[in-house]
Amino acid sequence: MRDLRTFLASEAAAVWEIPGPVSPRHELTALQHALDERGQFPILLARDVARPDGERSGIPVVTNLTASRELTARALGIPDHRETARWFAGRTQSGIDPEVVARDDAPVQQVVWQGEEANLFRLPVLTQHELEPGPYLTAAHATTYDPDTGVDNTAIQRCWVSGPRRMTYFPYPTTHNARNLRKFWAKGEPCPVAFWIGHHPAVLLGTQAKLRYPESHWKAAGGVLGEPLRLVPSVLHGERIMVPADAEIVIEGYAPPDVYTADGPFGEYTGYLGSQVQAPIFEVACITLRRDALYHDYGSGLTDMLVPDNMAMEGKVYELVKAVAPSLVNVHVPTEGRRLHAYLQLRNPGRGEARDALTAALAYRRLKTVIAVDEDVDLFSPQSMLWAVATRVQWSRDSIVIDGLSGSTLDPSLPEGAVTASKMGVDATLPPPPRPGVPRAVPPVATVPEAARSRAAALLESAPAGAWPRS
Amino acid sequence: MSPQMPEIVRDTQGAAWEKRGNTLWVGCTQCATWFPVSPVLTRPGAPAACCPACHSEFKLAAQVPRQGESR
Repeated sequence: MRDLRTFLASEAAAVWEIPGPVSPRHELTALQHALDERGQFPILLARDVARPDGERSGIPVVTNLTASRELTARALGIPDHRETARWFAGRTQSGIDPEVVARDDAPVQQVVWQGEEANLFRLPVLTQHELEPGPYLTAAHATTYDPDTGVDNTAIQRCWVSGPRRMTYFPYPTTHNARNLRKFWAKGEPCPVAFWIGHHPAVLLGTQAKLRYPESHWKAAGGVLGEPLRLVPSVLHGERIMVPADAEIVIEGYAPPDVYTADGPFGEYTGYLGSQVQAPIFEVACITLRRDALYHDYGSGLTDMLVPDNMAMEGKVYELVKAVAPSLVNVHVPTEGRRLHAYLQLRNPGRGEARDALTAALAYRRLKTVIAVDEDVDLFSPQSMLWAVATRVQWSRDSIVIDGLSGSTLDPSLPEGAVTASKMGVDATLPPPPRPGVPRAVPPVATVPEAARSRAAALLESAPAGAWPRS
Repeated sequence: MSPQMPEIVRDTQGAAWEKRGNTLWVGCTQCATWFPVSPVLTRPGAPAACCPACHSEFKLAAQVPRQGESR
C-alpha cells in the first residue's frame, strides 16, 4: 500500500521541512515562485501554518510535491522521466481494477467531522496570489458520478473556501464533472460530490489520465500506481461515490441546483489570473480525515502543478498521435509552454506523416502549438528544439495554421468573445532521403568523433569549472 | 555506374508543398564517402571537387543530373 506519507518517507532527502511559522496567505506560494526561479524543486513541508481564521492549524501543509519532473517520474516508477509518454499511455490503458476496503481499514475515515464540526476553516487552506478573493483548495480531486450510468469521474477542480461550510466549485464547462453536474441539475437534484485531498503522486497522476465519458479513473490510477487503488464508500454518499481509502482528507456534500456565485480571479496554469466567473456553490456536509492528516496544496500555475498535468498529457497525446503516425517515438509537453505546447519526436517519418501527426495533436483541445522533430533533436532541451526550428523550417511550407479549433478560453491572447483558438503545427523534421541508401539532401550536422568527445570529457573532469563564467 | 563517375544526389521531385532538401551530395569515386557540395562546383569551369576523407579530386561539371534525377 502506497500513499502520500510512504512517498515522503521514501524521498526524505528531497523534503525541506520549513523552519518556523509560515503564513498560508501568499508566503508559501512566494517560496514556490522563488524556487521555480532558481530551478530548485524540493518538496515543501510546513508544520507551523495558520488556518484561514488565524488560529494555528495543527495540520501540516505539503506543497511543491510534484515540482520536480525527475522526482515525479521516480514516484511513478518510470526509469527516466523522458520516457513518460509511452509509459503513461500504456499504464492508463491497461489499468488495474480498484479494490474496496472496509471503513475501519480506511485511514481517511479515522476522524469524521459532521454538522458544525465540518468546518473548512479548520484546514490550512492557502491563499496563493494577489487579487484572489481568499483561500482556495487547489489539490481537491472532485469525484462525481453520471446519474444515468453510475460511472464516476474524478478531476482536480479549484474551490474557494468562502465560508466555514461553503465553497465554490468550478468544474470547467467542458469537463466530465460539469456534465455530471448538469445532468443532476436537469432533474432538479443537487449534485453529490466528494473532494479528496492528498495521496501518492502515482494516484494523483493516474486520476489525471484523460479518459472517455463516462469512464472511471480508478482503474487508470491503479495502472499508474502498479497495484489496486484501495477505495472506501464515502460517509455521505456511500457506494455511489467511492473515495481513496489512503487519502488524507475528504470533503463531502452537494452542489445545489442552479445556485451560482462569483468565483475568482484565480491564478491559472497560464501564469495569469483568470477573470472572475460564476461558479456553482458546494455545501459541506462532512469532512473525514486521518488522525494526523497532511494537507496537500498545488502551486497553481507553478511547476508543481504543470509537471504532473503535462506528464499526464504526454500519455494522451502519445495515444492520439500514434494512431495516425506510427513513426512517433516520444512526446514532451514542456512547462515553458505551460500546457499549450507539445513536441513530437518521429523516427524516419514517411512523406506526409509529420503533418498527419501535427494535425492529430492539434485536435487535442489543450494544445495550441505543436512542433514535430526528428530523433536527433532533444525534446527536453529548449536549445535543441529552437535549433531545429531555426534550421529546419521554412514557415510558408512547414507551418500549418488552423483557425476555429476548440481551445482553452484561459489563453490571454484570444480575441474578446472567442470560444475557439487559432493553432499552429510546425514541421521541423528533415525531409526523407530522395531514395533509399543515399543521404538526405540537407547539410550534415557538425559533429566530432566519439573518441575525441571521450578525450574532451576526460579533460574536463579535472578542469576548475567552478570559476568559469556561467553565461 | 563507372567507378570514375561520382554519384550525385539532389532532392527535387514532388509537389511544391512537400518538404525537400536543398543540398547536393556527392559520393566519392575512390572511397565512397558522401559529402555535400555547392552547385558552384557543378558549373562549367569550376575546380574539381575534393573528397574530405581521401582527398581524391574529380570534376562534377556536366555530371549534375537534371531536376529529379540521381546517378
